[in-house]
Amino acid sequence: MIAGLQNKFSWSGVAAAGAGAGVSVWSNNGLQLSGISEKTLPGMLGGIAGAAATSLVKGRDFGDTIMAQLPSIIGNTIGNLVADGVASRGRSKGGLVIPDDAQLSSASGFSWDESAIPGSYESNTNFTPQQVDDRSKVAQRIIERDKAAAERTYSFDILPGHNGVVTGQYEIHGGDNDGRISDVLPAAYDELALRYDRTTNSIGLDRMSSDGKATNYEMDAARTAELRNEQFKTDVAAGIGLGVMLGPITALVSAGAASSITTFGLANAANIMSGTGIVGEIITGVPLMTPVAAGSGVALASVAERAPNTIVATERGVAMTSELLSLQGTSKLAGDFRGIEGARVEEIISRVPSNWTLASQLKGMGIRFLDSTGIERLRLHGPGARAPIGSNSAAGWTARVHVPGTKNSYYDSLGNIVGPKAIAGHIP
Amino acid sequence: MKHEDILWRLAQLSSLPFQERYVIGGTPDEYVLDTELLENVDSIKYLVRRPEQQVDFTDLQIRALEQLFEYVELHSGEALSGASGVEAAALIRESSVWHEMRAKAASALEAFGLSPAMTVEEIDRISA
Repeated sequence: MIAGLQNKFSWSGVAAAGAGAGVSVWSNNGLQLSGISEKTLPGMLGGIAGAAATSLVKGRDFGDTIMAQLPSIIGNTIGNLVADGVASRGRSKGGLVIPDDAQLSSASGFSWDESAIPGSYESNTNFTPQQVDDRSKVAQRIIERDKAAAERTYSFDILPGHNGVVTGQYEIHGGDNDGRISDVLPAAYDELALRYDRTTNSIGLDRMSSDGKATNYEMDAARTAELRNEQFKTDVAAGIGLGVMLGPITALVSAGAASSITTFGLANAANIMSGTGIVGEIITGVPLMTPVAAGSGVALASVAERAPNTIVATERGVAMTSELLSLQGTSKLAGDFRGIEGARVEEIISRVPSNWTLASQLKGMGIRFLDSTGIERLRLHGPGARAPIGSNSAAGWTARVHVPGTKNSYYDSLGNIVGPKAIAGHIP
Repeated sequence: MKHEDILWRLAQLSSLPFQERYVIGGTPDEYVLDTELLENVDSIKYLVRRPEQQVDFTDLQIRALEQLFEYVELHSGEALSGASGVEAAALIRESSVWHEMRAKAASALEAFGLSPAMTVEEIDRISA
């Protein structure tokens, strides 16, 4: 893919290239990740099934065949983490900020006593918001601090919600570098998730179930085999999906990356395969290695700062790097979105006036910019499998440029004002 | 903030007939994305929450809007989880999440003195 090398930016082309990068890794290595070195990864990108990937991104077939088996739910949580992390480092407000030790220790009611962190869902449901926040910080801090540890094992819950419902769980095992993320877990559940096992250097479908009291993990070998032998060998979409999943993970393995990073690889893959268009993928101008650093939002932000042209699309929306956002307002055409059809993302961002802000993102929604008065002026949407066939919105990424002073009118790519439902107002 | 800038968003989100025509039954030349229905509502929170804007609303209106904002924030992922047009249609028609969003949008409309029983044509008119 590589957005930075293209003469003309194409949202779908970028996405396709990102997906294709994974295909290459998949086709060369199957499910086993050994033997891939950091140096070989960029070279693999050359022989990508770009055309096939493009068709996937543009059509309804994007990942549809595999999504039923894979939990997009994984992507939700990581999407939140990513978006929050990037936002906290970038220009947007809010998000996840990991304090340093001193800040933590001075926080009201905070304790470093890890043993005080309950391990069961039942006890967790009684957390106050402050306790939830403290434990979230502790878990993240420990992950950051000990991500290179060989023997220690941690398992913490991050619970952004309370009132008796476990709304999120983040689990990291520092010793064996397993990673798993899930979201919106009721007291009892039975769900499938992707799991990367560093000990065996393999990845498979993992079943996690709970009756509300105990949690059981079981690798679903049959389902994994089915994915490998049936879906992935017969369906291009599935192959790309797994490839994308393996790409970042392979890079992590090669780089000796930390557990928190590995987790992001899983989430990336899960997002890609959720199949509702571009719900979750990593698109980067620095292929494959760029995702190396994401497990937590802060980690991603750190890498994003080093990797230009990185866009992370999640179910929550699209998170842009601070570097990409730094282009905001740099164009002489700032505020003028005429002629952006087919434009590079850098061009679009450069035309966003510098005093516009990035709206916080919600699951399933696009990226939105608000002007200085708080009015939404620009939206970017990923291709939607739910959009009418033949529409711009179904075919690829689109931009919506709101006409100021109107309730619900938009510009087309030529600067003409069109109605809210007109296809031309969804600029490809 | 003008109330009319809010009402069309609420009306579109409150109306299953509108969603039937333009979201579920949209054509390539004329359609509304389900995502947009939620984004349209979510976007106005940035205006409504501005202190200088608070005087333009009654407590009842603010409360109704905030309840809708919160619900959209919490449930947008589920509401937009359809992997295809068929799945999305089923969600919009039958899911509790969409039912609740329509109900909350309708309540907000009523707080502004409008009937949520508008026809699609009426919603089109206030949306233009």
